[in-house]
Amino acid sequence: MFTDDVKLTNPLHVAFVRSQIASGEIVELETEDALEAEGVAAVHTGADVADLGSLSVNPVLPIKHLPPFSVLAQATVRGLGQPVAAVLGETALQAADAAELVYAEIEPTESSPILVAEKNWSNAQYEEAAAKADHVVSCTIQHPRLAPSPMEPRSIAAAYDAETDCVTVWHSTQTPHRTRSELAAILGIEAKRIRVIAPHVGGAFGMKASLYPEDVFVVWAALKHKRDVKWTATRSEEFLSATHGRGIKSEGELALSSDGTFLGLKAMVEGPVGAWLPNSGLITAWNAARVLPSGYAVPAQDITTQAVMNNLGPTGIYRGAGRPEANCLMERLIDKAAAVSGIDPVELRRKNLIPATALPHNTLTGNTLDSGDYAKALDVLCEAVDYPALLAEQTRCRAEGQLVGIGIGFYLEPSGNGWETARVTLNEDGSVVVASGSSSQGHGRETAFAQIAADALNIDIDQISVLLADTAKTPEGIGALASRSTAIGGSAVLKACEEITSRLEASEALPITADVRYENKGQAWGYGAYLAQVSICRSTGELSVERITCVDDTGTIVNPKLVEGQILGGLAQGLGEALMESIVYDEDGQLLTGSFMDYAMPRAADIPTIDIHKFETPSPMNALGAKGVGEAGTIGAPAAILNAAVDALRPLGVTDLTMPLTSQSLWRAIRSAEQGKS
Amino acid sequence: MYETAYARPRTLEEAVELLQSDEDAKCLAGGMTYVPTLKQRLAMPSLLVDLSRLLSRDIAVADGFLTIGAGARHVDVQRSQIVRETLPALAELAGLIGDPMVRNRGTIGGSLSNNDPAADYPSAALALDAQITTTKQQYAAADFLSGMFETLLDDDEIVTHVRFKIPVCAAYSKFASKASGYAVAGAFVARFDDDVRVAITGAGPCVFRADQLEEALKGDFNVWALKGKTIEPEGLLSDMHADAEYRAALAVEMTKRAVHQITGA
Repeated sequence: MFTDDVKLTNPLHVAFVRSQIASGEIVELETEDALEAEGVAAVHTGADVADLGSLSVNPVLPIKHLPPFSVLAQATVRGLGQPVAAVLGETALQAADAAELVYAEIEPTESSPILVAEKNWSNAQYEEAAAKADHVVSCTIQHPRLAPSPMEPRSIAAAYDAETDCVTVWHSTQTPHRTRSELAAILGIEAKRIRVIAPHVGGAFGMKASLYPEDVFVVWAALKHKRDVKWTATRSEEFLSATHGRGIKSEGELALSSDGTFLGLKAMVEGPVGAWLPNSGLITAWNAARVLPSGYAVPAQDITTQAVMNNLGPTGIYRGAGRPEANCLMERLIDKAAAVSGIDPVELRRKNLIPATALPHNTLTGNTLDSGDYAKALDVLCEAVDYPALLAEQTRCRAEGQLVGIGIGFYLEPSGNGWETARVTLNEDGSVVVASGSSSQGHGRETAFAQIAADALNIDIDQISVLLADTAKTPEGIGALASRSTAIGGSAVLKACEEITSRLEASEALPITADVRYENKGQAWGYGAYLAQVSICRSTGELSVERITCVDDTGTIVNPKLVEGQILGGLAQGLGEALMESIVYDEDGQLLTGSFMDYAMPRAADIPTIDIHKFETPSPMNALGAKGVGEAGTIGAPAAILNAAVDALRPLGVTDLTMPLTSQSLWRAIRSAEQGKS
Repeated sequence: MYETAYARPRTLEEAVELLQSDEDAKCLAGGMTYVPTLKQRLAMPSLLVDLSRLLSRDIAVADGFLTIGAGARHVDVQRSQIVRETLPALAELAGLIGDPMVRNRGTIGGSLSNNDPAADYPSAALALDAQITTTKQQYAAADFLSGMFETLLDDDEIVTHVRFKIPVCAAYSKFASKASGYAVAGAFVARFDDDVRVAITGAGPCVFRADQLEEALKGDFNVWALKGKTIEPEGLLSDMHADAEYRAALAVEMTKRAVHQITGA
């Protein structure tokens, strides 16, 4: 059952009136006609919700200026698609019809970008390192803005209980417990009046890790009108007003000596944020900088990141959330360094990767790289593809005039930090209930948690049931994000089962319930190396990815099938970014990619042959030894594909390309290169 | 969508009467363009006249012509043994439209009546000198497909049959949009005993014939004959997916691929 399927009692349906102007002042907001329309229970504007609180924002970067969180726009509109009014109708159709009768006159105003947060990490030696370097290479990567586009759009349903004056909220979310605590804080009511259930969630990818103004409105309206209320976004509303991912611009400079030793890295990251920030609104700009310089040893570093507000759609975490951006910058710089130094790209990476013996390693940006053998990922990759044979084949194809490229992307994937909960009960009949504060959106978390418990308690997996995502039935928790659930949530399950075992050994009578709040020792860093083989058609610019080979070390693996599923899914989304996906606005700030007719999502037929190889280095940071893998594909694939595309066009003199690598952009790159030569 | 009335007439005459009775009435065949338009509230007809069970889906060959009922679904054309034997390029074209769901509902009559500049069928209609029969009269495709989303159809006029001239050989090649699957540029090349016709879809505001390419192919029906030949970008479509210059280049390339499919070299 999905949220939209929840049967409510005679619910009111919400239709939002959205600003068609990105930045402006509301001069007139006329709601009378809508109020008089058939089936309309109420029309609300900013004044009605002016006293509500704000969504909290995770301050991973020092905040200079936080844009206000408005459930409905107050006097000022700061983003295209921002809700300025909401109509409550007896049917969804009546609400939608009446919303068109609301007259909103918004006077456009000039707007300039506002610096929201900024941080620099520097050991002040970069200029010195660059001065004595034999080569300094630089590049700028503008990541396309992406629409996460889970199959199920945002959806929320609130059931009001008159007897207790409480609400039960079904919410398509990754973080049901956070929905509850944030709603309580914003609405100024006690959390115990709110129960949150996340039923089946049809994909999330970070886009559903936080509350939206629309969600808050629905619950506020249920309490205000003492009625059930529901809202499910249309796909058009998702393109316009759900958080976008990526959009980051990173510029970097890498200094190296003639033997290929890295001497220094300078990087400048700029991440866009919209009119309001979700909980994780600063995570992307933070990750895009702090994951630098990836798994490489670079003595001198000067890394800056900024989150800058503009008036386009809101942005947030999207599968990868800054990790692809950091890794992409590093991997492009290394390929450029390989080209100018004449050193093989694999060799150059191997030479500069932090050796296994130097782990754990503390980075300038405040990370501890926990465990692994980074160079081994390259070794396994080269053996899997028969790298020398691949190079020989490329030489042969090039001699025939074909445009073929090989690209490598090494990546690091930090997974979440902190705590998660588990409540495990061993019943008298031998059955076991595992309740977790984490949640699942199709990851197969129920299977993985049941496996962990079955192994730890040495019982049959069929004896175990897993409870997730209901604040009334599960212990308080964080939820499914930042590739953290198996490593931290799974460790909590393991610890709870261990406690049960020892209490059993102490002859305690059944049923036994163990409540565990597990906190990891630090982030577990997954890593790996991807290789993409591409060919580009000279006359149309069409790029074909022939094959992608992946090597991933995701720490201790609980379920190989689930890990593979994560790699494949992430890879498809990484390929989407590399080749076709992009949110586009025109000069007036209007959204041009408002549907799948214009926003290209990869289809099954776009996915190439994929070879997956893996090895396991347990992480010392959590009880299971697991590392995150949910974002691996979105990190490794774009870097490898982008490098392969540039490599394919290298014989023509092309040194830089911008994602998405559309056929038109490649056709133009080929043409200008060929015209430049003639 | 907005609230609207819906009628399913039993005869064409009844359908025409319904269309005449209400100036904001709109007819609906497969609905593969119009239903999404309605869902996005981009159209507000007062009455929908459903033709989907009314129009002929017959496919027949006679005297060098292939005649297809306007109600034939794309999948009907794609799988028809008659089409595969007499005009395989048309079956292949039908198989490239949209996805299986679209092909199971969308009709040839609906596609030609809508005349989307990026649709596939208009290129075949123009290259195969099709006759389009309606409830009122017959048109040559070149006249009927009059502009961007425009045809010579009156509001109360319904396409009933399409009659294609069967060529010696033909092929269709399409460069599909990664997002929509529509043609960014598509070329239908048809070779007749005494003529070669090349119709380009996707690239311009309306399907058009590439005269220069036709002339070159009349002289020598071979990919090499197209070497150095171009299509003038002026007047072609430019949008975020492809500009006029790129579409012009793609149209020539698709023509080459279609010719290559025919000659095999």
